[in-house]
Amino acid sequence: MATHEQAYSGVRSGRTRSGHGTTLVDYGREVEQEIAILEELVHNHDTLAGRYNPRWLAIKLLEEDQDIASKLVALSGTNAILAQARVSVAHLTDIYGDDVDTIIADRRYGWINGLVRESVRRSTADRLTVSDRIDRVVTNRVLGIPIFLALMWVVFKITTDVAAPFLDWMDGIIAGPITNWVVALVEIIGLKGSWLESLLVDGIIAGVGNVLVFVPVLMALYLALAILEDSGYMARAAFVMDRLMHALGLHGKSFLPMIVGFGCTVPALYATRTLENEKDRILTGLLVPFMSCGARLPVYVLFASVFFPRNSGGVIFALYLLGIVTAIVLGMVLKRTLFKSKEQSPFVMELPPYRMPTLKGIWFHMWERTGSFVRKAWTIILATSVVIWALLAIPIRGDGAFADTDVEHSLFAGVSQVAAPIFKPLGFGEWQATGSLLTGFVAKEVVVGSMAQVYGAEEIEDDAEPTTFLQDVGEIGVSFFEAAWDTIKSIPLVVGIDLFDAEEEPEPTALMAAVEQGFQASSGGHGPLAALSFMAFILLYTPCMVAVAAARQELGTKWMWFSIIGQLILAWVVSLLIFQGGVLLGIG
Amino acid sequence: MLKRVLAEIRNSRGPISLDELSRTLDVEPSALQGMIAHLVQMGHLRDDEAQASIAMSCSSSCGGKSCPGPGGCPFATKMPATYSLPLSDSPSDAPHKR
Repeated sequence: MATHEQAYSGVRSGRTRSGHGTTLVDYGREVEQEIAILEELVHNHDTLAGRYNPRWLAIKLLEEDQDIASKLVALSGTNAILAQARVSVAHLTDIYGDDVDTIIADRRYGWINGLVRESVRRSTADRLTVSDRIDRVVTNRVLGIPIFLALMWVVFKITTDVAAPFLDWMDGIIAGPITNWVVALVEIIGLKGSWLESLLVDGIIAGVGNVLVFVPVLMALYLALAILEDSGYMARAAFVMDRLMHALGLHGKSFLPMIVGFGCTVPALYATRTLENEKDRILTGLLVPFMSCGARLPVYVLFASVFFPRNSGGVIFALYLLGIVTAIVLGMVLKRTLFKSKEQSPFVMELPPYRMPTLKGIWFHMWERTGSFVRKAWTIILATSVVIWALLAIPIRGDGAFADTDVEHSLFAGVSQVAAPIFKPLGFGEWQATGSLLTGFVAKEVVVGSMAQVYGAEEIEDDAEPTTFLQDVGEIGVSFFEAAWDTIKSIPLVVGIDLFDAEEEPEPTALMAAVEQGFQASSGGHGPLAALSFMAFILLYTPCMVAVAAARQELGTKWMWFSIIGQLILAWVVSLLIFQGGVLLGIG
Repeated sequence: MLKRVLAEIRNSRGPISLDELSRTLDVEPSALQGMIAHLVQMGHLRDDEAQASIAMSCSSSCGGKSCPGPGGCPFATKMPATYSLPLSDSPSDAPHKR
């Protein structure tokens, strides 16, 4: 058997000891010595020498390649080689304090890198791609977060201002022709004034219809998010915010699930699985629900349009920001108390190159998400609307009958009135708002529909001129083009240019008027403050039943209850601070 | 070289992008991708994307009929691939073998 020194001298001379070609990669003195010993043994083995390149086989044995080892075991006369391989591996591990395969791979990549540097000449300008140049600004440590916030602001301006004309168009169709057609149909089948008419008009149209009105708003949100995702920006936003989270002592990877939470809390909760440490995973799972999901948007749009018509985009942006800030502050508190952990796993993020989003891709994302919302309207929202209608139809006071009672005397009002005093200090202690919050536990999409039902906000114009079916269809077509033109005129609003005349301000809908009146009354004339307080509560309390189920699955029952109770307490406290603080300071 | 990659990730203050790492180490991004793939294979880095893809397909537990089912949740956002240093395994004692 050759000595280590003899073996290595053969390598350094440019040829392996056994004469099987020039070595390309020098694995270092100690490794090469062991390679040479094994190479010699392989070379002297009758079967192996003809089947494998000795150096290659020697390296594989040092790397402890299981496939190769099993093949050698099957051959006779290989015991000495395998025994030497074990000795060599132990010897090298002892010297380097690391796996031999790591040492070999390290040298191999070092050699590759050296080769590339010696053979490829590129100027600094060549090395910077367009993506690199954009990233130098977008992921800059100073500019990254302001750019992220500015883009979020643009998203909500688009969502509110640009989508508004189609929101009015949808409202016009549902409150006008569709309601009229249903009423006419009920009359034709001779059930006018029956409970069926009440169920269809007061239950399904008021409940589901008033949610579907917000489809254009959600389409606008999903359009903007799809552009940000497909362009590659969303990954940068996660990167920039992760860096902030890390700087604040939270896990850097926490913001990845949070970004998902802007769409829906449920997949965001599942996305916490990317965190390895259990404490970080549970903590992130507790914070994810504070990211405002798309389902809450209709509530914000309704209240912002009623109480802050001139700055609705800004108000919605502030709510999303409140969610992020709440999550970060709460995360910092929990990290220093219940979730103390020094373990932080550093990570590297592979940012995709920037791409020009395709129309097909954007349309696909937008349609898939809007479709999911509409499907929910026909399942969860429809079912909830029917249940709420039934609870509103059952009288518990007064002399009304089923489906013919004042909503104030209904079972729904009775139950809601029990809980209403809890919300009185928050500015919305009336049973209608309380009842809507209770239904919001099922899904946030339901809140607006519930409000339409409890406020009895259907818009049937009894004194309006009767129209024919064809006239209605024609009107829908004409109003569609008017809405499309108004949408085009709305685009400059994003940069503060208003092309609308003052007299073009849209008339408030029946629901908007009812909500304004209700909140002004319940808050003692501080309607805008009560609205802000209500929106903050919607943002911070339990997102929906499906999210609760996901939290139970991902975090366990104990943390699910911690999450539900904690969210309710936090929502109450923040809403109280907004309302009472605003009243004390004389704002609103 | 691989040790330098691991050391740079370990010593980074917060997340580090592949491009930043490539510039710091003066390594071609494509070569660095290969090194990272190798480190994942050896168990020195954890491929979080594999975990994320499980997370993104929320299947039947997400809202029942409101979700499209096999296609996955439409609200799931494609997140960038991340590779973490495993918490329990330091680069010197990773047990994984091919």
